[in-house]
Amino acid sequence: MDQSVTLKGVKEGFRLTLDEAASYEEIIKDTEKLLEHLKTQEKDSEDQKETIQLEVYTGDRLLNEKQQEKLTTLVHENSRFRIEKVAANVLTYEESAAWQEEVSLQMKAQTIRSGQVLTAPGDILLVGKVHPGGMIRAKGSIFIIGELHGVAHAGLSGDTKAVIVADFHSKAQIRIAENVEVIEEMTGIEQSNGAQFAFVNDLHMLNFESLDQLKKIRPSLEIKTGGFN
Amino acid sequence: MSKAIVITSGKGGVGKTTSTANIGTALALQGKKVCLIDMDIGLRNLDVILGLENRIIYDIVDVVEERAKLHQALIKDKRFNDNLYLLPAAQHADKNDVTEAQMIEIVDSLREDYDYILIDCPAGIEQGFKNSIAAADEAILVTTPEISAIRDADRIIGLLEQTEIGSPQLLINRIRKRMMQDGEVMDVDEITRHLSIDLLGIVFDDDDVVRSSNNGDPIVLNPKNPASQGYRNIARRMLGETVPLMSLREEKTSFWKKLFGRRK
Repeated sequence: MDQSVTLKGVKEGFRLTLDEAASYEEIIKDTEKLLEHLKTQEKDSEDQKETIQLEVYTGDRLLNEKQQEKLTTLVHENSRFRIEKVAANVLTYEESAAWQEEVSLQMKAQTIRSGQVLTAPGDILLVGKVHPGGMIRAKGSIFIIGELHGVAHAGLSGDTKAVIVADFHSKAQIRIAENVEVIEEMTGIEQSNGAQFAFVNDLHMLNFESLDQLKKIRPSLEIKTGGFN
Repeated sequence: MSKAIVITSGKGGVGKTTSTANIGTALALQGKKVCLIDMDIGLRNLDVILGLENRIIYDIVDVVEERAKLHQALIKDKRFNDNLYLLPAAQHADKNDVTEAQMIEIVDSLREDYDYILIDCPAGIEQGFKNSIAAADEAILVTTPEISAIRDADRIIGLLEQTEIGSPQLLINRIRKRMMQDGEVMDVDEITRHLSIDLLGIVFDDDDVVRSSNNGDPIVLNPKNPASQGYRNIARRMLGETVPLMSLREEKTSFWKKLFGRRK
């Protein structure tokens, strides 16, 4: 019997693989058959209350929300399986674009004025100034060519590996993930010329270093930027 | 007993924020625990005048939207041994993001810990104004001797008298001695009589006020400055002392008179 769905045991539980060449109706029918078959087999066994994790793998096909919902209710109502995740071999264009944005470096040339907030989904390079009361934030790292007088918040979703590269010589506020540092003029930081970078050190404290240390402290920074990898 | 006082004016640019910062600082210098609330959401300034701008992490909208606890948003001014705190306004939000009920809740939870809660009201009579007066027990009305400011002040008094706050106390700001002496603008008595409310104090116009604010230091910190003395007198009157009004006469004579007047 050539079936459009196959059930296999994997490390985490079970995996249900849907054949991408089969039609959706076929898959639903075959799933029904499969579950029916399992039910009759299981009747004798005792531990029927425990649930089993199930991962659905859809191959080169993406199920839309309705399809996924139908499959989920079908499985949940007729078996002890709980669908933990639905994975596919492919991405929608939107998802891949969002992902692309997250891993690549965005460049902006603008002035961020008081009350304005510039948010980047990944890393950001700002060529321009952040005025007092303005805010630049990014899920990844922030690089500023220009003056920083406002707030710079890197690692917005908690990434402590993010860094901020800027000239920290004026009053400003630096945040990386949950860490906050207030910069008063010419204090706290050694008076070196030009840009430095801020990072979260092993003691979970915000620290500043000169740029020549950047590669040593965050070697992953270079590989991270640009394209799919 | 803790008092919540709103500092308002109607017209913009008459010195509400400067007055809030300075009265708050003067009260803190007198040993009172003071919390300043900046209600000018979207155009905040109080933090700048106090030199606390870059310390802001959470603001009042974060508190209202429960992204932060109230005590996390309060910024301590290190200069005044735990006596002066600021609850900053949000900059990237607008005045409708806070409601009157939320404002009352915030102020009520501050009452336990502070002797004075000063609320810096935005210009205008819209939502920002309504939020600012919602939680206040008393009001200080700031005006300058200009006729336009006095008109707006009159309107505000009318609005305040319809609330539980009642008549505000008058602060006449940025008085230019020479112009007032020459009768080019209404004098203190005329303004007070025209508005028919109690006079809390007068503050002379002084270049150092701007200079000092630019450095993030309220002028009150400089005891010799005439504007500073005006604010200090206001704070003392608020604490129940009887302090005579400062004289309008030319600086040199008035300076000695003031010294004498105080020492008696």
